[in-house]
Amino acid sequence: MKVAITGASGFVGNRVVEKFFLENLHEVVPVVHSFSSLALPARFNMTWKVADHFSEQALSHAFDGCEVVVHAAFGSPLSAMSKAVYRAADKAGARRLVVLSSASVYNQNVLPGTTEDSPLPAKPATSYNANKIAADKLIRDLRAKGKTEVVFLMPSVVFGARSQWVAGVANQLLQGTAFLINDGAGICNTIYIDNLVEAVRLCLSATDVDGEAFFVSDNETVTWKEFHNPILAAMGATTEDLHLLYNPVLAGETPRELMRLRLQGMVETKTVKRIKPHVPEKFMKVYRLLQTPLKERRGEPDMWMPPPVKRPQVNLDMGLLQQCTYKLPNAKAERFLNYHPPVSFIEGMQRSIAWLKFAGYPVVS
Amino acid sequence: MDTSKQESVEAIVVGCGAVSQMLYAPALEALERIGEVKVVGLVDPAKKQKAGMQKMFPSAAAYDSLEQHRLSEKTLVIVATPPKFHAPQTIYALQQGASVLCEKPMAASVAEAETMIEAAGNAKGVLAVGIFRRFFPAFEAMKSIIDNKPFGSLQKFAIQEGGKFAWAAASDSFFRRDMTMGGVFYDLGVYVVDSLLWWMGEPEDFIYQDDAMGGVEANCHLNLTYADNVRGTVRLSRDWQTPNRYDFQFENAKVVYESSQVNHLKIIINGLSFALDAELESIVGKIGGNEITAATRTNPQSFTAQLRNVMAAMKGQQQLRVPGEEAIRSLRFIENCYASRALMEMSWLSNQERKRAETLAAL
Repeated sequence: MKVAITGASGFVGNRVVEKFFLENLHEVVPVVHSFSSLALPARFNMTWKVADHFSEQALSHAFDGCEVVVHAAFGSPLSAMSKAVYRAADKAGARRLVVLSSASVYNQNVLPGTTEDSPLPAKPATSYNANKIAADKLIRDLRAKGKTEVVFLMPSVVFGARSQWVAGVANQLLQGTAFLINDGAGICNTIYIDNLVEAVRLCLSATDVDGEAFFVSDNETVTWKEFHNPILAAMGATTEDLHLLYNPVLAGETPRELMRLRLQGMVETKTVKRIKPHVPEKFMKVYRLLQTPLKERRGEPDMWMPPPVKRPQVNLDMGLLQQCTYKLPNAKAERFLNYHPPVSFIEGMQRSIAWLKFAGYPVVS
Repeated sequence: MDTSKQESVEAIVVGCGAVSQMLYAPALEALERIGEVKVVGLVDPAKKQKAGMQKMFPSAAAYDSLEQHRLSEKTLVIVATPPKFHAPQTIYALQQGASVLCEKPMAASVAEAETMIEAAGNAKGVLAVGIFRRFFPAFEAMKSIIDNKPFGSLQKFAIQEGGKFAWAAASDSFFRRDMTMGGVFYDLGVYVVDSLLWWMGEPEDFIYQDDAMGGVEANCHLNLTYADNVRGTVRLSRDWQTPNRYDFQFENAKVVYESSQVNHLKIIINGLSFALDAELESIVGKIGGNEITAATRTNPQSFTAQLRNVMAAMKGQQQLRVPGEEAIRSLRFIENCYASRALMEMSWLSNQERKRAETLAAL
C-alpha cells in the first residue's frame, strides 16, 4: 500500500516512515513542510515530498497516488493545517486519513470512566486541549462533505527514541529541574512509539472504522514514578535528584495569556505573514509588548536578593498530566483494530535509554 | 598582480541561496560601505534567490550563469552553490584570471578538489575556501593552548555539535546523494575536522560510524587516536540538540568552547572550586608592564575577516589563511571516513529493521 505521512520529520512521523520502510510493510512517501525538515527522511534512499502543510494544493500533489494519508504533523494554527490536510487527501483520492490526535481532547487529566464515546469536555482545561478538539471537529465536519474516510488515534504519553518525554526528563535532570508531583503516584498513560506505529498500521486497513476514534496505550498501568525511575537510573540519578512537589497550585492560563496565544495564532496565518512586512512599526511595537510576558516587563530583579535556587517550571499541562488517576482503556482499539501492543513498557524504556546514549546523553548504566 | 592597493575588489556572488543571503550579503554590504569591495554581479538560475540578493545590491548585474560576466584579475568570485558545482565554477573563474572564495565543503570529492588546486596553481588569482572558523578568536586561542601547553599536554577531548537542522535551505541539495557527498559529517563535519587537523594534525587511527541507510547521515560518531595516546570523540547531529560544546582536557585544566561563543572560552583549572568564564581580548600592546587589550572578533566579524583576508591576499598584502591546499585535508579525511563507515548502533530498531538497515548502509 502506498502511504503518505505528514510531519515525516517529527517524532511519530519519522518512526512510522522508518518502521514501514525498514520492515518493508508499505511503500512510504514522507511529506515534510520545508526543505530543512529533510534530515531524517534523507537517511534513506526514498522519494520524499516537500509541501507547505497549510496548502491544500501543495499537499494534494504530495498525496498523489497514495491510498492512505497518515497525518502526524503538528503546527499552528492547528485547525488550518487539519483543514488543508483533509481537503488535500480528499482531492488526491485517498481512501483514508489516519489522524494522530491525542487523548488531550479529553483534557490532560482524563476523568475516570472516560471512553471514546464520552462527550468531549465542555470547557477545555488548556488552549492545547481546545486546539486539539477544534482540529478534530473540523476534520469530522469535512468528512461529512468529503469521500476520504477518517480514523483518529488518541494516545497520551508517547515515548521512545527522539521523544520529548524521555529527553525532557533527561534534560531536566541535567538542569536540576526534574520533578514529580505527589511522589509520582499519578498514572502516566504511556504508549511506546512502536506500539503506536502498530496501531497506525492496523488503521490503514481495518474495516468499519470510518469516523471512529481510539484511545491507544501500553498494556501496563504505569505511574509517573515508574516512568521516571529507569531514566534516573540510566543517568546515575536517584529520587533525591528530583524536586518532589505535593498538590502544587497550578496557575491557569490567564485571560492575558490566552489573548497572547490567540494573537500568536493569528500572526502565524499565511495571510498575516504576507501583510506583516507592511504593518506600521507602531502597531508591531504594541504587538511585541503584548507578547512579552508581564514578569519580563517588570524590570531588573532586586540586586540585593541572594542568587535564585533552581526550581522546576510546572506548567498547567504537565501539572494535570502528573495528577491523572485513570488508565486509558484499550478495549475499543482491541475490538475494532485487533490492537495488542507488541512491546512491553520495560522493553520500550530500555530502547528509549539506548537512544539517549545514541543521542549523546551521559548514560551510565 | 598589478591590482592597485587602493582599488576596491569587484565581487561576484555565484549562488544566491541561504548562505549568500544570510552570511555573505551582510559582510559584503559592510565592506562596500568602507570601500573595500563592490558587488558587481549576482549569479543564480533561480529568479527568487537572485531577487533576494538584488534587494541588497541593487546596482549589481544579475546573471543566470557565471559565463555571462567578464572576469578580470580584480574580480573575486564567491562560489556559494551546492558542492557539485564548486569545481567547474571555481576552475572557470580561475582560468579567466579571477580569484575565488569557494564556500565549504570545498568540492563534491577529493578528486574534484585536486583539480581546483591544480587550476589555482596555473592561475594568477588565489583560491581560498570558506572555513571561517579559522578566524574565530576562541579557535586561535585553542590552537595556542594546545601548542604552548600553558595547562600541560592535551589528554583527551570530546566534541558534541549540532541540533535539529534549521538552516533555511532553499532546496533539497543538502540531502540528495546526487548533490552532496554526505550529510552532517560532510557539512558540519568539515568545520570540526578542519579545526582538529589545524590544532593537532593527522590522527594515528580513527573509527567512523553514521546512520545513513542508503541516503545521507543525520548523525555520526568519530573516535580518534593521536600520538601519546591522546583520544578524542566527535558526535555530530542534524537530528537532535547536542550540548554544542568542545571539552578539551589538559593535564592541569579543562578548556571548554561552547559553540557560537566565538570569543569566549571556559577554563576549569584542576583543584579550584570555580570556573573561569573568559571573554577573549586581543593584546594589542604593552606599556609599563601593563598589557593593552582590545575587543576581539565576534562571529559575524570573523566572517568579514575571512573576506578581508582573501581580498588582502589578492593584493599580495596578506597570506591566505585557508588556501585550497589546506582545505582539502579535511575533505580527504572525511572521504577516508566514509570509505570505512559502519552503521551506528541503533538498538531501538527491531531485528528485522536492523538487518535491512545494515544492508542499505552497506550499499
